[in-house]
Amino acid sequence: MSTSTAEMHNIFEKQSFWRSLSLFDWLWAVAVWLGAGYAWQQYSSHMDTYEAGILFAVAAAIVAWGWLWKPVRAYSIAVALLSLFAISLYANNLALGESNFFLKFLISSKSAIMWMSALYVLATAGYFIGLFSGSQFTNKTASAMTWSATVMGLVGLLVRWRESYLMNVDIGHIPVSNLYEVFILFSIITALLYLYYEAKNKTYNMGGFVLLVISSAVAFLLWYGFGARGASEIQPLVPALQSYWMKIHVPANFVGYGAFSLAAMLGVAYLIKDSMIKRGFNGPVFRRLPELDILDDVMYKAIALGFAFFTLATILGAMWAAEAWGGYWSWDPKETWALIVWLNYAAWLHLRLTRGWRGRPLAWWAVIGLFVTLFAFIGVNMFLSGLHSYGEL
Amino acid sequence: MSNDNNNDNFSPLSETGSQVERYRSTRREHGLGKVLLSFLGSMEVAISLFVVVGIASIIGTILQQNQAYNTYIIKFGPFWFELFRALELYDIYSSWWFVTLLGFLLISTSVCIYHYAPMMLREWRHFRLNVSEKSLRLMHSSGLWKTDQSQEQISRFVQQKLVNGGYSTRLKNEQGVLTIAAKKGAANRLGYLFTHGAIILICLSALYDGNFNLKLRELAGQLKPETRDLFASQVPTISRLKAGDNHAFRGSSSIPEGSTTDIVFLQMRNGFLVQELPFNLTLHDFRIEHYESGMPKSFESDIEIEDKKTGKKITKTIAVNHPLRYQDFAIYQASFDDGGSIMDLQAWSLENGSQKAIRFKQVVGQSKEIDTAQGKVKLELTEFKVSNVQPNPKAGETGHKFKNMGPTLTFRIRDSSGQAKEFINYILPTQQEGRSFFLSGVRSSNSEPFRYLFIPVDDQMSLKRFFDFRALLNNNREMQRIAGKTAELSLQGNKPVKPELVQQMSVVMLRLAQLFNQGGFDQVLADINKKVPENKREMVTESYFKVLQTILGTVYLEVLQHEGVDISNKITPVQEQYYDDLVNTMGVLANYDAPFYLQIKSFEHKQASGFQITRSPGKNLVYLGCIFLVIGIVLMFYVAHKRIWVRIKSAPDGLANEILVAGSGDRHQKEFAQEFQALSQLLDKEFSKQH
Repeated sequence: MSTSTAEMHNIFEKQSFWRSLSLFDWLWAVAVWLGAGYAWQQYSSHMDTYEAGILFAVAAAIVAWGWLWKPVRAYSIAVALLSLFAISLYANNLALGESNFFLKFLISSKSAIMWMSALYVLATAGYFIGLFSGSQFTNKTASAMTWSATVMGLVGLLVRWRESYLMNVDIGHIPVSNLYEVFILFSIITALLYLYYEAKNKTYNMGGFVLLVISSAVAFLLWYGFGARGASEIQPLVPALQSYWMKIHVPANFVGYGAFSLAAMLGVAYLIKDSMIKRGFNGPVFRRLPELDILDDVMYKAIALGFAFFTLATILGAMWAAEAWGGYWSWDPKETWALIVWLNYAAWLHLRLTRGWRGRPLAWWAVIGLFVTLFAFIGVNMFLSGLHSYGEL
Repeated sequence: MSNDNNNDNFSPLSETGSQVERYRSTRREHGLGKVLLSFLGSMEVAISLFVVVGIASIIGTILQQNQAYNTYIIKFGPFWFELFRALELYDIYSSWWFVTLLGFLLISTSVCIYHYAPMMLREWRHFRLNVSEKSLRLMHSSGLWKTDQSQEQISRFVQQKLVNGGYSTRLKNEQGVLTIAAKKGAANRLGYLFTHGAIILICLSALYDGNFNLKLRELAGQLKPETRDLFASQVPTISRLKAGDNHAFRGSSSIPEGSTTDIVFLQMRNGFLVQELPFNLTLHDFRIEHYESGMPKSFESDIEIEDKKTGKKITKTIAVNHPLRYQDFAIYQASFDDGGSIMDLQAWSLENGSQKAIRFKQVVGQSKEIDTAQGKVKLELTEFKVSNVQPNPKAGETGHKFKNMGPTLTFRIRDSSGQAKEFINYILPTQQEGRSFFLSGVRSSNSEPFRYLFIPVDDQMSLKRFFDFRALLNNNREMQRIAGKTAELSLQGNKPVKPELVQQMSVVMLRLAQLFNQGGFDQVLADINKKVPENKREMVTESYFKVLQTILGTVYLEVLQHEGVDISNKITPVQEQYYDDLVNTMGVLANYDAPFYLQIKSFEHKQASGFQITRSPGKNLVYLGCIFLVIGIVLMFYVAHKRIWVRIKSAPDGLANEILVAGSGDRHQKEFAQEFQALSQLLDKEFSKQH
């Protein structure tokens, strides 16, 4: 740790944040804003004031994100280039998706999602092989595959956005409107959160655990989207979903779901390591598993982040409900379960912060929390009826 | 300030939590009230309340809320129904016990704020200059340096560095000892106040928007929900609320096009209240737009409101996600319904022996009694749909994925015993393999799929020929004549024609035609099976069907002749095809089992739009609370509270100055340790480190 501190900029030496930015940081930021400006110039006639606001707020958020976590810059460039390439290949003709080589096998929405799925599953295996063999090369490969999968996933979503407009302008919408689409979103967000903590803690050995939950999401996605359900087809939006709120409510919610899932998987890793200690294991795999305090710390940070975003998402949902259903709170099953999830993690945080709980009990709680979250996420749609039934099983 | 000396190292919400306990024990007062207060504010109570509220909420999501009471009786039986009703499980979220639970959560949070707010505010504002040397030495991060620089020089240098690092500082000089206290991120402490204050604000405002006051008035006997099925104008005063009489509500109202209302219905358990509005609401037009797939794309209502006091009028088009806000009312597009479309109907009798067709007008949503051979039946028109888009079976040929099957009318025919069958009739003929049919679906219960009857359409695109054919079959005298004629004609080959044979033949023909008329080919087969020994059945069946076809053919020709068709030549393939379809349909008519076929001659479509009208004055306060909540959470989790102290005094030898530096990072000890190390490196360059 001491070496890294020395390399780091010393915060007590006067240097403003702005001066710490490199030329590339600035060029990249300009590119992001130019992109947003171009999108606005091209499509402002399709946007209302709120949507234009969201567009520029997202541009600002991406710039801030990339300045604070540098890999975002390269990630965003890769996603932008691939998506623009796919969109230019389509050239306003959806049928080319079946005939153009690049589209058909690489970057049409469906192909990109397939690549994403395959890469996540391979990365999961890679991380576990890395954990058991101790091969740094395998770990780095798994990490690179996770990045690539995350690129392909977002490309898939962005291209799908375009494809929906190519089907028919009145069908076009942001692809976060049904279970198929949000499962992709879930996978990407969880992966990005994980990659952040991987870089921050310089350990690859949490990877397998976290990627396991992403692989499960991928399995569901393939079954639901391409199996008997065929839910991967683009469907027009019901009137209740035609709102700018969808663009902020849904992604905010999935940062919450993603962070809670990540915390739960780290909880699993914690419990395994902890019981290994209790049984006196001391093998190489045991030593390679991250330290308990790192797991505990990342688990806490993920839940704090998830809680912040879940709160925000629930508030945005309430405001949307006030616009669409005539009341900010109707005790609809989805709303009620959002409250239950919120109470659950509020209790978790209270116990940690004021009662000083640590370790095992909170790890168990985080794991159980995943099931509560999972029910709020899919269970409500499967078993309960209500206003919020967009994506039934 | 006096506390600072005692608690200089404490930090609430600290790593272990033991500090909080220590703090609380200093505040713990005596007396029952105080004990109760400290109990209510305890974490145990708060967490227990979280769990109980969570579980109660789950019950409300599993047990569907606010259904008709009958549904619950059927589901649970009378015993459990009563028990659940007593527990208010059907409207759990406004039940007394649930609201009480939320009240306790509110009290618990308030008491918690009462306990901790003063401490948090102090933590936020104060620098804690009165820290003792001993406690500094005990901190996680600390270090000692020595230098011959003056106290002022040291102080300037250190303060500069701390300010660079984002700390704000305070200085104290006491008996030759210079103390610098620095802190960063103290707003973290405000996060506590923001989050907990926000919860209270949100709950109180939401309570103000809820129907709590109505429940109180009901308890006081001033209000009583109406449970009978009455027109709004007949609802008695005890179930009515005047316009200015209720500050918050959420109700619904359905208005047919061209009509006006000034009330909404507020649902209350198994009854409702009538809420009067201070304005008149008129629906001018309601529109539904569809996607190509037939899925609804938008619902829009052109509405006008007229203020009763000022007479001011506002016109606006509202849609889903685009409500109209007027004063503190909001009007939402919520649903739609038939607004009393008028159907011009013709009921063609399907009963044996009867051939009458009656024509009448009926409004959708209403019922009418109709005389049939089995007595009076009730015709209830339930739903009229202007279009029915279905996947196109010929998508490949035409390029259209979907096609519109045109309007449908759904209705029920209820017999005198109360049994009903449901029907769905397509108003326009449907194309099947190039021929046209009127489609009518029938089912006995909602769980069944519709079974469809195809009635062929004649050259005039009407049902006349089909029902003329039936009428002739039902006409005994005519049938006798036709049977006689046909029997004679068919026996012309066997010369000489014996009159008894003709007579016998015509009797057989007549009987077969009657059997067919009653129950189609099935009936004929059943008759053969009953009367003919097994070994002869095949032969008899074959000859009977030949005979039956002959007489049905003749009847058909008579019908055509009656229409004015010249049948001396061969009939056209279309007419021949029609005959096949006709006989097939007649053959399954018995399964349709309805006293009449309902044809929709024309219709006048009228829609109704369902509005949700709300008044929620607490909404903006709820939103304010939400903003506080988010600010609070960000402060609590993303602003790290860190403190650093620097204590400068003369070294024991009196020749140099000693610098003691220590600090703590509260919940972020790991990050703080790094930060402290960075500071140490700078100090190392300037001063000499002591060990």
